[in-house]
Amino acid sequence: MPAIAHGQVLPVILPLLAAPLCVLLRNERGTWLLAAFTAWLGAGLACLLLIWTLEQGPLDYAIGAWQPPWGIEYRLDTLNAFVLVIVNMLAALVIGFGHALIRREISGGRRHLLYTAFLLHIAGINGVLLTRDAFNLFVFIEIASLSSYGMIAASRNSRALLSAYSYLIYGTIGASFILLAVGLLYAITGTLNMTDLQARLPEVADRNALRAALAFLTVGIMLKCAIFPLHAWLPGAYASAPASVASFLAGTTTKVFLYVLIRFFYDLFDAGQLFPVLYIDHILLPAAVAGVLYGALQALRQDNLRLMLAWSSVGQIGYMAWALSLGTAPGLVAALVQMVNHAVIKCGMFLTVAGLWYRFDTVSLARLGGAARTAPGLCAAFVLGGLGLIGIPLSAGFISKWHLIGAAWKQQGMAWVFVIVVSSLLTVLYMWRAVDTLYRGKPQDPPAPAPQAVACLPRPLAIALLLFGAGNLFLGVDTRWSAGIAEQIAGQLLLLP
Amino acid sequence: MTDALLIPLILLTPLIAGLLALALRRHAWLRELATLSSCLVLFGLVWALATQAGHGPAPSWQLVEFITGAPVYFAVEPLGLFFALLVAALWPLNSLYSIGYLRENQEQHQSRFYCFFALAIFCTLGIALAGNLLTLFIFYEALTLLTYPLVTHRSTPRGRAGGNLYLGYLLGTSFVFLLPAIVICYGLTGHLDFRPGGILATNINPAWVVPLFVLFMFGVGKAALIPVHRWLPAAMVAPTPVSALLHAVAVVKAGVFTLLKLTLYIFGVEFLGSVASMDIPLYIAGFTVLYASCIALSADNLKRRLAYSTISQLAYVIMATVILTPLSLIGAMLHIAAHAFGKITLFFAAGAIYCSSGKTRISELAGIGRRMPLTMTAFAIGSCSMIGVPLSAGFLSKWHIVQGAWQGASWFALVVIIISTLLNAAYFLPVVYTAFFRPGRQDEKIAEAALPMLFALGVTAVLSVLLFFFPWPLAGFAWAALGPEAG
Repeated sequence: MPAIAHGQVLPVILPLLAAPLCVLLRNERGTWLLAAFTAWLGAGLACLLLIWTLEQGPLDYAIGAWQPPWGIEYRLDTLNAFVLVIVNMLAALVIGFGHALIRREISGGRRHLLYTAFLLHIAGINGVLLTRDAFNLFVFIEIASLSSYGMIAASRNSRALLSAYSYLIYGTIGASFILLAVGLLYAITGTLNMTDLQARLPEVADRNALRAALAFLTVGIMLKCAIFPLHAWLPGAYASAPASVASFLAGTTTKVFLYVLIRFFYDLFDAGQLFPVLYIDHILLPAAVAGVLYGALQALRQDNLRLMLAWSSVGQIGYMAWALSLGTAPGLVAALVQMVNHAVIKCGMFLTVAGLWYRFDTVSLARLGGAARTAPGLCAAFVLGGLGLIGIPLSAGFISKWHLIGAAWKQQGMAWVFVIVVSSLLTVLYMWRAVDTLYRGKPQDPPAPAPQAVACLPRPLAIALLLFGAGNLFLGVDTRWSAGIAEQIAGQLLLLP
Repeated sequence: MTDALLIPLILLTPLIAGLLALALRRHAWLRELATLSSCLVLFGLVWALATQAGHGPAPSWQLVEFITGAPVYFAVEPLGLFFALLVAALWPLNSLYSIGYLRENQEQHQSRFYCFFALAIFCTLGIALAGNLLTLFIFYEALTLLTYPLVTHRSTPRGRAGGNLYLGYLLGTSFVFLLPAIVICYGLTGHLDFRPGGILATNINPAWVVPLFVLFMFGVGKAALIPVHRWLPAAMVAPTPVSALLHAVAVVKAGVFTLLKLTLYIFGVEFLGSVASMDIPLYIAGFTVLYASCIALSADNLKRRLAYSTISQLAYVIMATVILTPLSLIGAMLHIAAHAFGKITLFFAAGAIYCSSGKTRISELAGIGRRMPLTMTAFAIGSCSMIGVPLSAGFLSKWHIVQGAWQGASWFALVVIIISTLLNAAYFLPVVYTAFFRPGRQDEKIAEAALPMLFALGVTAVLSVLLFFFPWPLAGFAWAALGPEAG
């Protein structure tokens, strides 16, 4: 076994070890440094692992040297290494550069606890991504979810508690459905190891229990991904969580559960054969389309910028679900490309709005009229992110739209393409409304700088915004790391030449 | 100097000009000198590229490939050179005019104006030199976004409303129609290169050709076909130099240029002629010609009348394109040039009148021909070119279009051309008549506009006559674009 094989458990173990250390340390600066160090280490590892698996192929790891089917197996392949890089890079950026936001938002005695929860969350997500064991996957889902409820509730915002509670209810139902599905799968195949599941599922393909399992799985994942109409937890959670937490969650949570969807439907099953038999596409597609349109329409109505971005997320997740519902290789590529591009764009935009809040102590559009005069850099970052969301050429969003339209046209024909472009127009409208207000609006009540008199952004946050803007443009020009890898993944999962 | 190096240099020059305009914002004279000299450098570079065309392989330059088979890629071909040359020739004159106009009116944010203007030229050149449809699309979108600050240069409520319409129509059409159409082309062929004879011939179901073409016609909102034309009159809130170069030449011509390029290099003239009955596109264009002329007839605001005249002339080019005979295609390309010189003269004159007298309505122009004789003479020459009076460039292009329509036995087009010529005369001649022959008030103190403006509009007026006598530099490119067998 090559030495790097041990590297694939580290993204789970490191944050899991660092989290209790944070509680013991209690010192605010110390915990921040520890968390940032762990996150950056994880990001570096993730990149190494991705490069390794791109060159050498998948990598198996038996935990504690207990060979499967007795022990839990981890398996690194291009798909999870790809998502691993997205998640850990965002974590490193948000934790590394977002300390000022956390200082502003969380009262002194609880900051180290937030970092603890953050690290646990990262450990949970990395576990979900890396494990090859269906039950272990559920356990990590719970670790990630429970810690995220805590992080959302940590906000000073009075609505945060309610949002966290609603997320808790929805999330728990979703997780229990996933658990039921895993249980049913175990009952009919006698194994929890995904490699074995993959081999045995064709034998039980006509069992009703399998259909029930898939039904639970689909609904559970839809709840966790916030696919319309099961999205109700998302806007509140993203809008009232602490700003840095919201940025991270907006970039990663739903992506991870889309990964679970891909893992089950495209890897364990053969989507091309499964969808027509079980009509999963008939459930997913209308939900996705409705989500795309509804999310954009709701975004158009919001005055709170964070709510606007959250609703925009509902729409953007709809695009990914749409691409996945096609069950084809171009669809899978489109979904993966949209995953990485949306993660970068949306995380950057949430951080931008956090920056506006840091400067002006408000995220209400009505009170931010003309903010561009005093904060030109922040507003430029907002415009750049908006161009990305709309999908203007040379921004990352254009690449996603290009692949999505291409995939939809090949599979579904012209009419659906128009739905995509109409929803793009809605995106133009809500972004335009915000940008127009920021640049030309007259403040009803001038955006007075925050009580602590913040004349400019903390430098780390400004650097992070620059990096996100550069990432947006980079992914729009050089697609080897998005579409290139996505095509490889599609080739591996769908056994294409 | 190798040809391949010329392409990046041509694209870089206006970019640098834009940055210089910002960097020198505290030194008005230096800034204007920098803009003017970059205009001249650009013209020299494009000229160098044009003179070398036809010798050896066509130069090309690939920047980055981010969609498999459709990189950002530039290639030189006659039609693109034709357009690039046109823009590069008019930019120096327009800059000269802008300097006079902005100073005279004491506009705010002049550096921003020069900067975005240069960036708009950069995008237009990108469109002209694009080697595939995706590259063209990228610069097409960028042109929309970068001209927005110019349209809303005066941040008045009317300016903002006009800007919103501008952005809404152009972004809307390109997202709803153009992008899907491009993706379909890519899906059918796996690449988007412009190739002589087209790329769709072997790949597309013949029944889909006309719908796809119509999708492109409306997708290219900059070509301003009815009903996606309303952005153009709305954009007239911009300062006149913007209306002159961008909304009479660069932006709108980028639209019809795109359609011409699609016809020649994506669909292929022969293929379009062989499979499709192009009646529907012809009717759409013909209807736009007549309808826009009728509106122009009723407009009292001079710039609004010019805007609707532009819409009708653009539809002329499109109509000539879809007739699909060699002569009509030559006519379409020549009309791009003829209309460019003529219309820029008219806009320059309208701006000069506004500068010296503050007048914007045609009904107020009585007697102004006596006080601004040079300006109004240029205006008259421009009008003649628009109508297609012999000895002006407009006659030349109309002649080709009529010949082409005859060749293709397109009676509908012939009728449209005859009626619209009458309408053109009906809405331009009264302006000239009012200005020269109706007595104005005696107590007005109006003189010719500043020298740079006068010089610019004089040159464009002379050029639109010269083009009649010496069409060859541009006509040569037009013939070359049709391929060797057409000549």
